[in-house]
Amino acid sequence: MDHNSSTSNSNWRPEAWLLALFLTAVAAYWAFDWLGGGFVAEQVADRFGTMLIEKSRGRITQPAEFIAIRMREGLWFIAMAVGMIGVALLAARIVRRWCTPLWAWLPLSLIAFATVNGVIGAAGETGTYWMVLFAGSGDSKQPEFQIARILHRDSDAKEKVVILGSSQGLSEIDEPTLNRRFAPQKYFANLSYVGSHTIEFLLTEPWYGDEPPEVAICYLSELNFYTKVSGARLLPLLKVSAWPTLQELEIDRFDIGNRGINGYVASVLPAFQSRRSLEYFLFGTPAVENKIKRVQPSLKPDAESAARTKQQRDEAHAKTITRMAKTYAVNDDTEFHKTALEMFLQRAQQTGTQVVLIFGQVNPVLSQQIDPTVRRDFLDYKEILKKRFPDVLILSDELPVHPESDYHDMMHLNEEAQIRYTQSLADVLQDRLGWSPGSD
Amino acid sequence: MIFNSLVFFVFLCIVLPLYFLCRHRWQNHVLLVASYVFYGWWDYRFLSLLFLSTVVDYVCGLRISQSNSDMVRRRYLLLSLMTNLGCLGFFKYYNFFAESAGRLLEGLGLTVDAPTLNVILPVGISFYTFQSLSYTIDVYRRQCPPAKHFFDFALYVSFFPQLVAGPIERSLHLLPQVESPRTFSAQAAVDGIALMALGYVKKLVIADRLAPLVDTAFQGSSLPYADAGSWIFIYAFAFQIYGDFSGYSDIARGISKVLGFDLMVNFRAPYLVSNPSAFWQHWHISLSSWLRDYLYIPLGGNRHGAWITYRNLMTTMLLGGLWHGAGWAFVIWGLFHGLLLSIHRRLTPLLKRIEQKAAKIPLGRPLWQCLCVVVFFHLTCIGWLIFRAGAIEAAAVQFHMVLNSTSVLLTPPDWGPPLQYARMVLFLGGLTLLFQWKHEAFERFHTWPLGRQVFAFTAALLLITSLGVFGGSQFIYFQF
Repeated sequence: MDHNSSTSNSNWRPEAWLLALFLTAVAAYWAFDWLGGGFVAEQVADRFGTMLIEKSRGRITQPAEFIAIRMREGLWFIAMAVGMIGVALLAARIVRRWCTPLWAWLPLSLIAFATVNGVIGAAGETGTYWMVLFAGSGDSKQPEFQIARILHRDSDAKEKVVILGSSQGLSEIDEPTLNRRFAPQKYFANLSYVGSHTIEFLLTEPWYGDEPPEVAICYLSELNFYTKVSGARLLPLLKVSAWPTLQELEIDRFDIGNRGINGYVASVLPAFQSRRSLEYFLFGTPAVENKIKRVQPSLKPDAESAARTKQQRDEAHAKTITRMAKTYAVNDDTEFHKTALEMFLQRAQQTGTQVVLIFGQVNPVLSQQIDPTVRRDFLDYKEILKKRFPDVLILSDELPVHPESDYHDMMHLNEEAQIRYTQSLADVLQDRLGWSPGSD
Repeated sequence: MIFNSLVFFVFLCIVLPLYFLCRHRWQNHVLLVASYVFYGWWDYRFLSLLFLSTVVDYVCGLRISQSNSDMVRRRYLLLSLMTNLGCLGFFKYYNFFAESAGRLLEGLGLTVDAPTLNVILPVGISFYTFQSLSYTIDVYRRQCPPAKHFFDFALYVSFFPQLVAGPIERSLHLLPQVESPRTFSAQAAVDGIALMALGYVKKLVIADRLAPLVDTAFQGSSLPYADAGSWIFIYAFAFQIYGDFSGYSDIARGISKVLGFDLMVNFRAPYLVSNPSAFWQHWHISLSSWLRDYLYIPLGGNRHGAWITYRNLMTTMLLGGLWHGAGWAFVIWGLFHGLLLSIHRRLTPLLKRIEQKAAKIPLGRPLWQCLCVVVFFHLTCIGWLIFRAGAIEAAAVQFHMVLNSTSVLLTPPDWGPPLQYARMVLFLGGLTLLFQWKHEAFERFHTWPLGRQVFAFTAALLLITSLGVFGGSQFIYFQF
């Protein structure tokens, strides 16, 4: 009996089991709809659909389809993960043949490391992974971007529209409002990334999926052209394929520190790419952002010291605005940003994507402190672009100008102003691009 | 040049092949040049200081060994002591003593304008000074023969893996390894690579991730919360300083192992010990054993009765505290540990009796030991609070806040704000304790089963890539 069981143990072949699991997952993936996956998804959607629509703030419009896609991608992920583990085991078997027992751990660890990265990479192509990492607040930049990208990829709308920009792009344009207006013909995905300039528009291209979007709406303000190139968001967006683009733009002329290296490492190591999101997920926002609030109940301020604190806070705020304003200047960096935008426009022309450029603004309080030549250059550049790219729809005066009260800080609109602005934008788009409102 | 920088990896990629291509004597030359480049990368001007210390101690060592006259021998020992301690005293302590003397005289009603200088502290001066000093003292005591070649001795003083933050090696241990040919041991190299990986996890994942949190919490003179919540940041510092310092030691020992050297173990499991005496056998072992051999024992150790022993303990720990930094907070930290050692020495018979009684109850002994570990860990943390405060006033305020926080038993604190940071501290603290618990196993990585080796190394790579901080931050102990 013992002998038999030991024999059966020695005959146990993980590869065989993995192959079986892989084939099952692949078969299940293909047979998903046939096996009644759609029915299951509908049942789940009946129960949780309303909650999904509410939680996604309108980004998910068809819960049953959303759930079905998540279930299908789950099967796809299992198949990929099992497949990769199987390949790793085979590679490990080969490596062990020619490696001395003392050193075998090193190549095997590298294989395991590559496999885990492969699995994380596959997970990164699923919405579920990013939803798990989504911390639920403004600090989940990468999951937010990835979820928007995946929903955009999965959408079966006839026309897909991407919104590009910095955090201003996120705070100015509320894509659920646009989706409500133009669904089901059109699907809007806000792929704006916090801190973006114009190079990020180019870096976002490979993330669209197989087909380029029909329309790309870019929100631009002084932030995109007159601040340093060194702030470029290379780590979460950079792909190796963008190397020639960066060289063409001569990014080496600018001091980007380790960002370039980090970006390329991230593009080949998915574990490195999702590190920021993982930090937030594991440790929580206060710990990662290190926002320790000093709480000293014994030192409750009296009215006088409260007034003094407020005055100090106001003075510090004013200094911050002055400091912020000083970072805006017309220089070499501006040329870089302009060249990057023009390169993006040329590529859009080649792929047949209609580009809408919105020449927007920052908070007037900040605007007043910025060197006036900056605004002048910004508006002059708008005219240059109109001449150089007649096919591009450039919007500026057609949209409302924001007073100071529309902002909750120096850059970002409050929710009410955002909705108002988006509705105005929808009207303009309807008018200028001949779009018709949705009919469902 | 720091271990967690890109330039260091380039440096290592150049040095290692060169080293392995050479025979023994040339290997030493390669390492010597590499060590001077390594040190000079930070500030080449201080290479002269390193060189001065090397030349003086080499000459003194030779003269001491060649002479039979006690007076001559003592004279050269004194010259070595004066040169080394003089440099250390000037660069590290001049301003501290000048300011303290000025304040003292001011307190006595005398107004003296004590001149202070803008002196830059050469990185690692306390480490290589102590290492170099131990050589002349050992030669004087006839415990070790003098170095045969100047370049070998120069390498002993400046060996780059341990030059700036230890372990503080002894001539009896390191010098013979420098002088005799080294054979490449694949097993040692495997253990070395594993130790380096462990060191990088400790530094990049634990220490550097906790650093911003600790820096913010200890900003100013007070702690963030006036209740028990502030303990979270004291724990964070305890884990940070362990990760930082023991991480450095592991990387240093790992590189040395690959090169064929065996440096002394500098850390074991300092947060899993139950008393201060054991703590100093687990924390910065190379310094505590140096202090024991060259200070505590020459002072009389424990051979002249209880009170002399307490005096010796206090003196040794006071100077140990001062070794860490020129500030009264470090002096108080040293005295605090001296006090803990003295009290523990006094209470040892009582503690043993309690342990014997506890052993009679089921699970009594392990529970008692756990209690001792927890209590002593918190005492260590109070020490770290003084250490981190840096200034005596801040230490006093923070110490008061921590004492105040014992009112947790009467009025529960608001756990909300500190709990926001608990996940990070718990996760990284858990890793710290795991590394301490398994510290011996990491020394023998090559004996592990293959599956465990692969799991551990992959986990280390994943931790570094996904949670490591790559800002190239300094090691805390560089400032000492």
